[in-house]
Amino acid sequence: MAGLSPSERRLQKELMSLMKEPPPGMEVDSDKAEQNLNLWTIHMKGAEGTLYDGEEFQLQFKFGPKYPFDSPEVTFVGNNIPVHPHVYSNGHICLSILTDDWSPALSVQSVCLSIVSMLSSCKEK
Amino acid sequence: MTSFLSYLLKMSKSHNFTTNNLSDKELKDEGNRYFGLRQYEEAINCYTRAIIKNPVIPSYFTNRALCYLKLKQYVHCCDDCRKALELEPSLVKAQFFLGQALHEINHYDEAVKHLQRAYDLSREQNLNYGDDIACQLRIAKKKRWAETEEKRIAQEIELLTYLNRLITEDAEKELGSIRRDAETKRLDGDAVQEAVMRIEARRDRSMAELNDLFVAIDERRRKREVPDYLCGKISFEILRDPVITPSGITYERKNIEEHLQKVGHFDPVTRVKLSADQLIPNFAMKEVVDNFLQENDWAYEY
Repeated sequence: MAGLSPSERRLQKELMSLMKEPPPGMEVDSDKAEQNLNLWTIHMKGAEGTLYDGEEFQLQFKFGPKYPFDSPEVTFVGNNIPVHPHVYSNGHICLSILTDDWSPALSVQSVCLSIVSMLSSCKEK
Repeated sequence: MTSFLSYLLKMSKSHNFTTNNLSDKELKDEGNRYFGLRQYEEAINCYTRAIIKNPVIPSYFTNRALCYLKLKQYVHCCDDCRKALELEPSLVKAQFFLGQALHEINHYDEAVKHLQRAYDLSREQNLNYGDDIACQLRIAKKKRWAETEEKRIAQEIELLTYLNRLITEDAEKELGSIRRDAETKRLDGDAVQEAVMRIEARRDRSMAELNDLFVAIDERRRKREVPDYLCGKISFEILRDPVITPSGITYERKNIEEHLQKVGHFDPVTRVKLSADQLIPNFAMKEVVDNFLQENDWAYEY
């Protein structure tokens, strides 16, 4: 742990807990994240019984040196971008906790869960 | 070139000549000046002469000790700190430098003792060393823990090897006596075969069980984790200076203050309005953390 900045230390802890107990349908690309702690890719499955059931997406997290006091930059990447009123076709996500309503008590895990629930509440594409 | 050298020599001689008449106090000041210039050897020279003139001033020793510390001459540093402590046992600096030097030469147990003493004394005397002493103390405690842990593991491996050997030897002895009996008493071949298989099966089972036991201990050790409830909600690290908000959420003071400054005036978890003057030290939590750390040296972070 020595030699890491506070933001890196927190990211290291988040990564460990995500690898050990990933939330259902999510998987962090741990090799990539360990190589570059400030850029993560998370594979996410659309929740069962929703419009996105059976689909797979990739989320990219970019962390600045001021994380968790600054929010991470979160976008959908890869060739399957979910069709959703709050997700632009370039992968940009319109979600208040990622900008004005960010709080340092949020985490990668809670952001992922918010995104899944945002997708799940959509009734019509 | 030679003329330049002789010039230097003359200079240094005249310099010596001028400092020869200085009082111990003036020599110390001269030493401090060299220290400021990071010329530690010269500073040591001055302090030494000050000590010769007046050997009962503890600060001459601690100042020289710090020079030795900077030059990584840890044994000399320890000697000077101990002399200073003989003159004045409650000297924070002497305890602090001594702790650091002992730490550098891997005497963690003693280092922890003196750093702890330095920490307690600095609080008693209201001296502000910031986080310096506490930080050194945490590092030394963690190193001490790692050292004993390593020893413990080595001992366990030795014990496991020893027990395995005993089991094997015991089985060999029984097998030997069965074979001897088979010859002398002309035992039935099938009965001997059966006895041999029974002994071998018991030996293998015992060894497997013993290994499982040691693996379980090892796994429990690897699972060591600080429980979430002892960690700040922002840093995710064990709380050192916990403060509680009117919402009842506990944060590390440094983190919540940074949040209020950089992010906004709200409680990060509950989002209720919050200002710095509403933060209250959470002594109960501090006590729980201190207790946990006392029993779990491995949890020290730095």
